[in-house]
Amino acid sequence: MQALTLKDVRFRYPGMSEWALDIPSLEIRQGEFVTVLGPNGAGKTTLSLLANGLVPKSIKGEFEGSVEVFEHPVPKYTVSQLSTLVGMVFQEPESQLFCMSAEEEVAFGPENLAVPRDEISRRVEWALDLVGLKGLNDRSPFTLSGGQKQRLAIAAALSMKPSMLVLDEPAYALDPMGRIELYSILSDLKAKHGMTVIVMERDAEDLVEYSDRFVLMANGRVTASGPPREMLMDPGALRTAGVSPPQMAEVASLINLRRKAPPLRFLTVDEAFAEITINTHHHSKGESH
Amino acid sequence: MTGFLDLYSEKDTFLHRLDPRVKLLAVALISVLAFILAELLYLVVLLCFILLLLVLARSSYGKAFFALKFVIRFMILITLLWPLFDRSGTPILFSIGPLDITEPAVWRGATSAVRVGCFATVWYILMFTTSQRDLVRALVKLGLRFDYGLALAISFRFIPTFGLTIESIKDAQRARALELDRGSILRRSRNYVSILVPTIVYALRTADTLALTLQSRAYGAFSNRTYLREIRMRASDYVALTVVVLILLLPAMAKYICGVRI
Amino acid sequence: MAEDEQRDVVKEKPRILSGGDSKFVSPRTVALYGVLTALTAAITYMTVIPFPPTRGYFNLGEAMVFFSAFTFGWRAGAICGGVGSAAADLLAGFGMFAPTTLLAKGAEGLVAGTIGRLKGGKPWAYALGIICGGACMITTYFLSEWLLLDFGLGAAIAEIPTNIAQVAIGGTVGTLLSHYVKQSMPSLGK
Repeated sequence: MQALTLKDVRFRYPGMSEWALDIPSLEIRQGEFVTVLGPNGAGKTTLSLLANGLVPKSIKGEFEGSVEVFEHPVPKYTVSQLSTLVGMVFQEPESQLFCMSAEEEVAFGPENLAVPRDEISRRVEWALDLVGLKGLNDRSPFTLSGGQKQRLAIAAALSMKPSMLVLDEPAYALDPMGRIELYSILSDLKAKHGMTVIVMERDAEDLVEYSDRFVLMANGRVTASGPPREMLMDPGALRTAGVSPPQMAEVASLINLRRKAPPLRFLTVDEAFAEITINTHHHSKGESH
Repeated sequence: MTGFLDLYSEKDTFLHRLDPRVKLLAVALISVLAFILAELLYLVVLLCFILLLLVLARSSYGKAFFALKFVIRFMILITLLWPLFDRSGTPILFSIGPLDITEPAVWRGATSAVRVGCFATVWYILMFTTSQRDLVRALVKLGLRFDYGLALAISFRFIPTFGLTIESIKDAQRARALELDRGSILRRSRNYVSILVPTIVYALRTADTLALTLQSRAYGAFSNRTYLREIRMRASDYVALTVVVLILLLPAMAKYICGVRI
Repeated sequence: MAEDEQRDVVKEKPRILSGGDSKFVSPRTVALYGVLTALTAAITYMTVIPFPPTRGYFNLGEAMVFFSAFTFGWRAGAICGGVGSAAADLLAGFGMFAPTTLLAKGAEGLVAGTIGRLKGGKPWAYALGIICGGACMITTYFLSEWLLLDFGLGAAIAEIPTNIAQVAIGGTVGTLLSHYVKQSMPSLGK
């Protein structure tokens, strides 16, 4: 099943002449972990808000085309109704936590959905456990670290039992450790629970090993899409999307420009070392014959 | 003033465990009692009773001192100002120029000062022992609509956040030599504008994200939403409720039905 | 519980919530009122300029009451101004003023928001709004302190000059804030 299907989608904010989003076709499978890469203003946020109908229902503008989540046409439903399909996490941890304890934060969604009380308390324990915040039920979100705040925001979405999570630059304010923790929780959700995960990011490197696919965006358009490693090894495509390629990928492409032999493919120093030793080894053997 | 002082401290006393609605009612009824009591002696008894409750609430010395400092200053001020405006009665104790300070006026001033002391301190029983979360829950239970209760809860949650925002923008502006501690009030207030504008803009952006978050978390999906935690009256709460009502009712009956002077 | 529960995250066929009926105010309103109330309380608490008479402190909370009223209308002015100022009283330990404050600042916000936005918010309307709103606030405090809280005529009168200064400065700062904030966020106040 497709988790998210966009067809001929265009969206324009009021008073703007440029389309903020112009996507002829985009499909994301159920259970896929997709990273959408692009610079500020590429349309990542608009795309994420499209997934549960906040665009164009709450943030108004000129909209055309069709958006479906799990084969449900988004415009037909309210944002509340879609909350059991799509969980949202925003960039700013501070402004998406509004309760006075972690527990209340996670319980808020199911309470609104009129879920029975013991079921809510089960979901709260379960969701806090999944994001590694077990036992912090009574802590004020205000006193949590940045990484804990974002994980709490994920738990608050999970308690509504969505089948897809959409995260808009969730690691924006986090330190490297916090990022890795966050991404590995998302990757667990995908692996163990079949969760569809869509992450909007500006920076690709941390996400290579977790993602099934990279989608590159620039100026509201999808410019390329494919397996993460392949995308990263194409510095040209990355730069078109305004994403700075990993340094080692640049090195590889520079070397490959001058080489007649099959291209070198590496993304990290370790990989480069391995690749170059093997290749030069072959090379010298060839010459000695 | 830096940081935000929360009068509440987490303890385990009978006052902390008491249903917040009973505490709210107690504040109201004891205030009414202080209003109808006319004799200094009984007001002093009431004030001592309130202070005893504060001791039983095991409130921290720092917070109690902070709170009482304000009350005492207030009481002194009222005692001093009262006789200046009330010159009825005899004997005249002494005169300052054309002003005659009379003995009954001094007593009336003291009475009113103690009464105001009761008004002020009775709130501390509530604020020292009730978390903001329970306060909002109590108000919602008392009939405040869920959506307005949510707005109130959100505001309590964000007060320290915005406090910190103001504080950090203040520091940044001070580094650029903006005067906030000197100059006339008018000048300082104007300088505050350059701090408050960015604070408000930040807060309004926060409100935008908050609105999106609320919708994404199914705000308002059903009007008969459920609640994970709800406050409920227990036997001990009913006992306390009865005591609170009697504390007002008995003196009120004595005064208005039996005509006792209290 | 864990096993079933966890399998359940992804339902075999993702199911959408059916029905739903909301009688609550819009999420935008809840968020805006919550934030404005918090701002009013935080600014009241954080911008204290020590000033001797009675209540003992002079603050710019008033400016937020006028800001909310002028930028978002009388309802926001009344609710956020009243509740925010009362919350500040409560948290700062002036609980006995809270009910009066709720009423006084609520009335101030309501009146200022109604009059100040007449004819699309002309300068004279702002000025009139500040004067009338301020008059409501000062009268409410005076009557409550004199008759209800029993401060005596003396202490109640002693507070009036502070309150007048607070209205004058709060009104000016509030108007400036409304102007500058609208300038940097043009989508506001429509």
